[in-house]
Amino acid sequence: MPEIKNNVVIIGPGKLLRLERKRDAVEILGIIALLLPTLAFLANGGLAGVTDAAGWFNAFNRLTALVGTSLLLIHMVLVARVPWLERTLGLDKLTHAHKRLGKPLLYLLLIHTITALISYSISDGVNIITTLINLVGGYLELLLAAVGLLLMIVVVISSINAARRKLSYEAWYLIHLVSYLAIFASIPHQFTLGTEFLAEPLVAGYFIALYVFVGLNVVWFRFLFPIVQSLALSLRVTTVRPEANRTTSIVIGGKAVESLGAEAGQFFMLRVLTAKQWWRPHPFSVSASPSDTIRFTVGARGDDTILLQETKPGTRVILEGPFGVFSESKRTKQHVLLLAAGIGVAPIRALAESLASDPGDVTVVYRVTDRSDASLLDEVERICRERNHTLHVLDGPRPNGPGFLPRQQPGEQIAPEYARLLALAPFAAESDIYICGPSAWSNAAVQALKKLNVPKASIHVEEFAW
Amino acid sequence: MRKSTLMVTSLVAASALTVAWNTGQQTLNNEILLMPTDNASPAPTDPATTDPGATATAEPTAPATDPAATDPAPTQGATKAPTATPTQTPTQTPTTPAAPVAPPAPVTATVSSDPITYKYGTVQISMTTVDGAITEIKMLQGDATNGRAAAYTTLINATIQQQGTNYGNISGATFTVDAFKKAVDNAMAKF
Repeated sequence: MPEIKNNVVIIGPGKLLRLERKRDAVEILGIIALLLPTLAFLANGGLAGVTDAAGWFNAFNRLTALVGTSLLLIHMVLVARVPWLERTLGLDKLTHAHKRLGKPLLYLLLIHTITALISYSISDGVNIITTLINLVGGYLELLLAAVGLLLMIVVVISSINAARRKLSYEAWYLIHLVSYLAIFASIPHQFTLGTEFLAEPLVAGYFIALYVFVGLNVVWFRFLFPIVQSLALSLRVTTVRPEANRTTSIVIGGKAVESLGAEAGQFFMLRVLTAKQWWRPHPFSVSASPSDTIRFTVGARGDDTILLQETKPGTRVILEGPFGVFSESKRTKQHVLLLAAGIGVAPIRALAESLASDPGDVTVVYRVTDRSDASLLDEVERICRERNHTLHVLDGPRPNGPGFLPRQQPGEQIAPEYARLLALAPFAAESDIYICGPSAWSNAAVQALKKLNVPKASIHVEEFAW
Repeated sequence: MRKSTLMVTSLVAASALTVAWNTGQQTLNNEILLMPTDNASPAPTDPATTDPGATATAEPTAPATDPAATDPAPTQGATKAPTATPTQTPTQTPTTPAAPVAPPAPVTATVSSDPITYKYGTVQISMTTVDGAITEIKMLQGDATNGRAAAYTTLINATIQQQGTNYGNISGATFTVDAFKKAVDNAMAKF
């Protein structure tokens, strides 16, 4: 039994301000990246002397190309898993932003393509189809760009919600890899035909620098670093132990695992190096305060997670991470409320174990369907007992409508969920609140907390849906 | 992002955009279009001197015949003999036929330039002169990528107005403008 250590953590309004400033700084960086090329375009006379339709279309074509390129680079950096962004915003927020930007980015590139075709077809006095054929047929780099655009359309379509539901994660992942190809295909025409790139060495230099910067970040952090690190630490599965409710704990050991720097509440991308699984990484939260081993507790949710449960001890793994800001790094209050449902208990358990606290500071609410079959329940109970956390294990059927607490029993006084939550956790309104569970459940909990006027910055949600 | 940060950022961004736009508009007034430079001082025919901004990029496709470097005259080389010295009159000298006598029927001539191939396509024009004055220019070949061909109409008008290539650049179509000027000079040299 590892000794439970009480961490020291900085809290208070000053920390909140610092965290907010950091986040703002990152967002401003993104805005600047979009603004700079626009400024260069305008200052270079991009809209000056534009009077006729062809001129306007051409101006739009050039502007959307510049802004689209910048957005594409932002789009890539968002999923490059670079620590300097991840530590500030968290991987889930970055992924969300990446997802939200996908469609606008495609629209920009489509506008760029269409306005280019229109302006060229006006000035040449031929129809658009002829223009398209002339351009794509006459310039190899434009043919490549057209192929790239088609690939991007495929990637975006495969990522819209309707398609995501029909595709398996693996199929979607493979299609998504194609986007790197699409980006490469689109690069040549920017440098050989791009007006701004050719006329202004500064603009060209700026974009080359950006491409190199983003490219290096992607290659290093997304691909090389996890491999190098995991091989250097010689990470392997050491134990596989079945837990309640068809969940399994997998322990990873190796040399100097502490150097991964994981905190409770964070997660890793786990890649098990077997012939069947090596190419499909999966995100798992650490389910115990990280020490010289990393433990995950995994639910049986799909083919791969079932396969994981059969992993033999000694199998090499690649860990990518740690990721997430679902940790004490974002804590600013003395009181903490931990809300867990189902397998969401994994990071909550780790937090309960390692949060700096005095007796009574931490309240744990664990929502289960069946108390006798709740994953890690005995561990949670032990930790709460030893560390004097308040623990509420709530079992029972789901409510009829949306909600995160069990259905009220007949005879029980009818009360809204926020009131019932307040009865369980009187400090809720002045706590940092960590929520982990299925997204519908988490949303219901967040709604209740909003009714209690809990500031947004105090609500930390870790979603298990990707 | 916090509201205050958002407001400050928006303000800064808006002012930056305004300044950039203004700068752009001034480019228009100062540099770009076809300011009819006064006939008495026709020297700056080399585009590089009239529009430092837009033509700052070295012309990578400059054909071997490029004479501009040292010659202050418009860009013809040795073949310019038939035209009156273009340094003084960018217009074609209309006086070659014996004018003082009863005005004969106007002399109309049409020549085609060599095709000028450059980065974005090929430019070839036909030029018609009446008594040596340029009256019409037609595009025999005028393909250029990315809408740069839109420049041709403007360039034709400017050439007829200036009776030569003594005009500036069109931002965003620098290479096309240069190629067109070469075609015009080439055609003028053939008269």
